[in-house]
Amino acid sequence: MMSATTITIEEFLEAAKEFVKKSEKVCDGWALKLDKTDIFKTYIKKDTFIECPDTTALYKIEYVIFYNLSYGVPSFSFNVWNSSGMLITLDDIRRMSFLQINQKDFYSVITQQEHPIFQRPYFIVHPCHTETLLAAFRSSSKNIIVTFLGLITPLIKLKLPLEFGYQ
Amino acid sequence: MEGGDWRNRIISQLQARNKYETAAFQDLITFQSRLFDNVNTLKNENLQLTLLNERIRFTGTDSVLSGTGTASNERIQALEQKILIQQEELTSMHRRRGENAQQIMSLNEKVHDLEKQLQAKDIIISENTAVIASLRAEIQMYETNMTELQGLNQVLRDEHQALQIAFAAIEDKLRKAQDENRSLVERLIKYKAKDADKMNEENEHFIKKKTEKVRKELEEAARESGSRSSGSGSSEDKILDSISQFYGTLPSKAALRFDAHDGEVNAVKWSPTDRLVATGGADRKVKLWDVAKCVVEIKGTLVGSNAGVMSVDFDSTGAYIVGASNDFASRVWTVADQRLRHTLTGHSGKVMAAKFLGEPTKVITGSHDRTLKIWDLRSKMCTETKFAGSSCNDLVTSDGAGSTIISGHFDKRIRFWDIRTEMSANDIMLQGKVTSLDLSRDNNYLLACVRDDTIQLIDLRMNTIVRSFSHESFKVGCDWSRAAFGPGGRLLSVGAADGAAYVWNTHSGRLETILKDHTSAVTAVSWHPQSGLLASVDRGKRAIIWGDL
Amino acid sequence: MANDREVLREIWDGKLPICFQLAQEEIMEIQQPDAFYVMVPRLSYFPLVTDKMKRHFLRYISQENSDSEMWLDYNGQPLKWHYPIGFLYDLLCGNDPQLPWHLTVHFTKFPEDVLLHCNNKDVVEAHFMSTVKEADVLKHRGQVMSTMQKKDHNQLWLGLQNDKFDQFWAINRRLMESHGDNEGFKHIPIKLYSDDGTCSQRLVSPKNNDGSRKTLQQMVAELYPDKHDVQLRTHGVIIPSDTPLQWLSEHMSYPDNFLHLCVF
Repeated sequence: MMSATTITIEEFLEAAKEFVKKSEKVCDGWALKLDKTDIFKTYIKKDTFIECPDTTALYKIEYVIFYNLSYGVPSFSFNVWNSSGMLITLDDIRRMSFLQINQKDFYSVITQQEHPIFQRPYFIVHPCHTETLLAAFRSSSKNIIVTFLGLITPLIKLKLPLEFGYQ
Repeated sequence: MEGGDWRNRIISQLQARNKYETAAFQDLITFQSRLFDNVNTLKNENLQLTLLNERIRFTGTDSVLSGTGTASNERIQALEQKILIQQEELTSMHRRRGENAQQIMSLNEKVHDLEKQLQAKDIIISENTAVIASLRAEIQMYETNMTELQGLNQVLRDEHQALQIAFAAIEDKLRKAQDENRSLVERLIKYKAKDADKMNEENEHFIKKKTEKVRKELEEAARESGSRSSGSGSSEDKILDSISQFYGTLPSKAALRFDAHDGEVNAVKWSPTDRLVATGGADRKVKLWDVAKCVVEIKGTLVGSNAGVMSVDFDSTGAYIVGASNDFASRVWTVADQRLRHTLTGHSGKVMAAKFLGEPTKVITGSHDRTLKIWDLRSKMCTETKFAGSSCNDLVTSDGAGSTIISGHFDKRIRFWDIRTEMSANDIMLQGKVTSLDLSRDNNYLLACVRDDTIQLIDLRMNTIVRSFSHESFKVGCDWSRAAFGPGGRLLSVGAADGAAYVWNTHSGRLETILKDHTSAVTAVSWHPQSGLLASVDRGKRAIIWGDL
Repeated sequence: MANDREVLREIWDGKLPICFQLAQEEIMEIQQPDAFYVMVPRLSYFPLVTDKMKRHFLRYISQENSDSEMWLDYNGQPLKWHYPIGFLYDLLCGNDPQLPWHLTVHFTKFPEDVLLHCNNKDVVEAHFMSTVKEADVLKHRGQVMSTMQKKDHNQLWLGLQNDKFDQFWAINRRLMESHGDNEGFKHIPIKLYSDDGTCSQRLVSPKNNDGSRKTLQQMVAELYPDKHDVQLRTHGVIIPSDTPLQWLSEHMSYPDNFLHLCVF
């Protein structure tokens, strides 16, 4: 359904494919995983490492962007493991994020949930905020995912190369 | 509110679920948690009291001494009591809780078992209903079968009845037909008898006519011709001659006269085949004479006997001849080469008669030793001996097979024998010694020459004497005087003591002729089977052939 | 409108007997702890009903684990606390009901690759509320939740937490209303689980293409065209195939406003 606040799965797939092509050009590491049996289970994924500036500890991060069926928007999910292979807590993530947000607000945006695709615990960005934000940029966005990520990245230490903004 | 079958199903499922999951356990678990709480609180209390106890014990002396003293002691005791009671309660609670848990488990098991039983019972019920259905079907089938069979039965019964009626009707018909048949057969017999009588009547009539004619002719002839003298010279003789001419077989004159033996001639017999005559004499010889060429030629002499030959007989083929001798034996010679074939010894007396029995392999002999013996020529042995009880003078065999033997005896009896039995089957008593027997060619009449100077003619079928022949001048010459039937059985002749041969007509009983030429008593006579020639022999060596050669 | 009070009540009153036992390897005391029996509401969540049980078992474990997160397992399978209790039971023991349901309590080796962390009841509340919002987005484009006040949200949560039917349904009723000229929700909030626990979510409309009310059977034919004899179970009952989806969603959703159906 064509509406201001939601995108269809087909639009998501289009944008995802474009995004991955750009990622390959700049070697940003995003990959598209297409599910033939259930189109809704298609996602794009990136594995990377980041370093916490304060503690010089190394963390492994896995980012997954997928389509949220109920809200009709892209969803952002991630998991972070420390150097001993254990998942870090939400609170640690909060402390690591760029912006200083208090606990309550943070928890209303990012929560640990069971991933709809993987059926495993993942940290997922709550979709209702995405909805509002996207509503603002829907018409003007060339690639909805790029727009989407642009809004997310302040919350998580995710580098988004400027090259994504180019055509 | 929406309704529909689905809603009811959902509601009922939910209610069942709640009953099963919630209601079943609610009370137990509530109670259990209450117990649990009680236990906990008691445990806590216990703990606290123990601590208090410890504390009091350790620091107790001070506070005790500090004044509370006995009161606190009492309090302590009371508290200790309380502790004990609580501890007991606690243990009993524990126990009860364990029991409840047990109960829960056993109730669960019971529920399981009951469910299983229910299932089993359901299975049995369904099996039984299936069995019932099949049994009902069987019953149905049997009932239909039974009605069918009853129908069939009824049909069969009806058919049976119908058949019975038909049978009765047919039986009736049969009876009627049988009666008809019987009556028809009777009528047939009656008609046949009538026919036979008619035939007889006709025959008699015809014969009467013939005799009438003949008599007329004779009377004419008698009137015409003069008397003729030949032989005897009486008118009767003339008539007899003419009769004999008419008949053609009555011999009138002696054709040949010759001396046969050197002594008495006892027996004479013509051969059945050619003009051969055999004679047996007291000179122990059997001589064969050929009279074919109107002269007598001696054909041969058969020797072998050690005493006089009393009787001779040819077999039916004329190839063999048997002679019975006074030397207690009989002998068989072949005619052609005149050789002695068999000598049959065994009698203990003179053998008076010997005859071939049917086929030329058996000979029967009668002897003065009061027995008859049957000899088998192949084995040359006596196969049978019949005890007669009296000396046998002569015997004859009836019919070709020789199944009946008739013998004449010294004791005036004629005995009939069946060849198979030892005892005589029958006998006829006569007035005198039986000197000879002869059987007519049709085996119906028996001729017996009796010493009382009569010839008896016996009808064998009726077993009675039908005629007696006698003449005032006829006297039997000797104890073995032989009489003989003529061919055809119409005539019989016998030799007399005065040297004549008397010839009777068997049918009328009239003496036909007397042939006198012998000088001594005639011992035996024999008719030629075809030509009507008569041969006679006497005690004075002489043999005469009468008739036309 | 969810006005079939009898059905709602029967569903709400469902309780399961649970027997909690401490994992053998974690028992540190000489005395064996008693098993903890409790009746828990089918519609509730485990973290809301395990306080007393946790206190009971804490005494028996080693002291160093007393602050670690408690987690439960059934037959070796960790229980996801964010699923309603009744749904977990139907999923794991639906074909083979055994009551009381025996669960094992652990305080160590938290399986963080399977279970979400749950440190306090706020996490449960946050999860519950976000699910309710998601359902509202599917049903009414999120309009009902956004027009409700914070205190209504609180009342919804408290009604569930304290097992108060009327308190809960006073608010939930509004979430079950149909808006606009079409009777029925925009989409039915529905999660389908297969035997192995994998969940799939689809956009399901309560109406057929011709405008008639869609029944469960028709939905099954849409979603599983090559399977036959598909039966769906929820709340421990098998749903008749001619049940209208709209009614089903209004009356037999869990408190989080989703239909959780086990497919078998």
